[in-house]
Amino acid sequence: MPQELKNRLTEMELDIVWCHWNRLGAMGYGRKNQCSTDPEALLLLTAMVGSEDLRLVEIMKEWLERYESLVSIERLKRYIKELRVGDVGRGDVFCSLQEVVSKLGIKRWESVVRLLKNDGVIIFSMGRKRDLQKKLESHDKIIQNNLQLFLRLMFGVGTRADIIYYATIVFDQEKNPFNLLISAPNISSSLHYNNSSIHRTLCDLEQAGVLLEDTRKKVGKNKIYISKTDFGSKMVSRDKCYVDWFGIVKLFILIEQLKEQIRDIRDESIIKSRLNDFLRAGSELINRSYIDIKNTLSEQAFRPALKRIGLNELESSVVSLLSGTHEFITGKAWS
Amino acid sequence: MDHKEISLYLEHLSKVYSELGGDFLEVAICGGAALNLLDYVRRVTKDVDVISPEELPKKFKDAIKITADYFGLKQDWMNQGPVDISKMGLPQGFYLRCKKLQFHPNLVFLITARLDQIHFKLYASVDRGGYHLQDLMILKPTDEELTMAANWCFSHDVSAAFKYLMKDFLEKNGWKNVASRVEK
Repeated sequence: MPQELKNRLTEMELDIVWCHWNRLGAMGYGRKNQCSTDPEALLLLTAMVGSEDLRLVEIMKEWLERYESLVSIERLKRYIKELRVGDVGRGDVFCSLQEVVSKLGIKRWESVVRLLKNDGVIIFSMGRKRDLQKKLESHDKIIQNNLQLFLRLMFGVGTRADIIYYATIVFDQEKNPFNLLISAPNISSSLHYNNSSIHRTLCDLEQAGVLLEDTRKKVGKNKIYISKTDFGSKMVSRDKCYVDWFGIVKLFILIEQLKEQIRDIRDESIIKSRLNDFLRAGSELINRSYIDIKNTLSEQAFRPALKRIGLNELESSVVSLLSGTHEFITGKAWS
Repeated sequence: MDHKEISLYLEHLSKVYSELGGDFLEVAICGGAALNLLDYVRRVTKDVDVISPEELPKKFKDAIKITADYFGLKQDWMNQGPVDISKMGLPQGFYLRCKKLQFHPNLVFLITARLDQIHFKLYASVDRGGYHLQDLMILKPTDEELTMAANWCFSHDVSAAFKYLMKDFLEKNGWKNVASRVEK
């Protein structure tokens, strides 16, 4: 793989992970995530790229020491299981997460450690060690800036907090290009919780008057809800839109696979074909993550006769897929 | 694709397969592509038919896809459409008669020889007619060759109906004496 492309991809992966940690309280470099948050997905993303910047692993460690109780173990395990089924590729991809959560020594994390455990050698110390001077912001500031964490503190970690969080964002979202609704099917596919928990919680929230049925709309048998706007003054979402971060985890796995597939390959047609496949699958994942960069991506995939397309052009398309994602998440694309 | 293009794609496929680290492999090609490569016909063909092996290795399939992407071909430009024929047994001496085409040390294309093409084309002509019959005519089979081919076809389809269709086909296309021989 051209080293320059590999470096660019890694840099952008790091930027995406940093922007999410910056939002969750890290005093890191770069912009902040302006869209929805997802601590469980962020742990996986950090585990994947942490060896390239060990400060991220340190941040993850410190954040977990303070906020491990705000992580949904159920949701994290669902993510890991789904990724296993879909062939993660390298067995040691989440080894840094395994090491960090093992050291927490907290019983409820044991099932995650077991799930992450594999026979592979843990390669934790490879990569660049950088000085870590500052880590997390104050608790008050973190909670003030993160509605999801606030809700999890208030209602406990689980569907209740996350459904209210999702509903608040979707209800307030200025643009809704993916037509996200506050309905059971949309919430199930976006939040990755058990379907029956979603249904039960929606009923509870409707009875409590937190969600109201929108009688003008209905999709099949499924109710569509609206969020009651005067429910608590603290329930104001600053998140510009809802993003399914699990799609970004899958995108990172795709990047790892791409790096592996074209490592040591010299034949241009193989590299071009792999890049094109990445663009096709990556665009689909971006779309499924509700990241609206259709204009950037429209001409990138499904190219005929790669012989006629320059390698540089394909490489820039791959880079712009990731930079477009970063710009969308950090709100740069919105202004 | 014409003769020149088929050769170009096979050469590229060989290069890619080699770069992917594929193990030694022999791939037998039949149909229009083989007829083109042996210069029996000049007509363009839309795909390259692989008749053996039954299971193609993953790296070879990968190389087919990469070649398709590179030249803008259909993803199934090389396919195993006729592979069922080989499951029932290829004509005796098939591999010995094949012409070898090799661009890289670890991949050999076996181009189906004229006699075996007559076998396959007769089977396809009785079954589907159309351009298969044209191809069969171009190959100018002798009565002896057609008799051999018909007997091989009967080992693939043992039904009385097929035997009737074969006889009818041979009679209608000017091979009455062959029809009377295979009838026995």
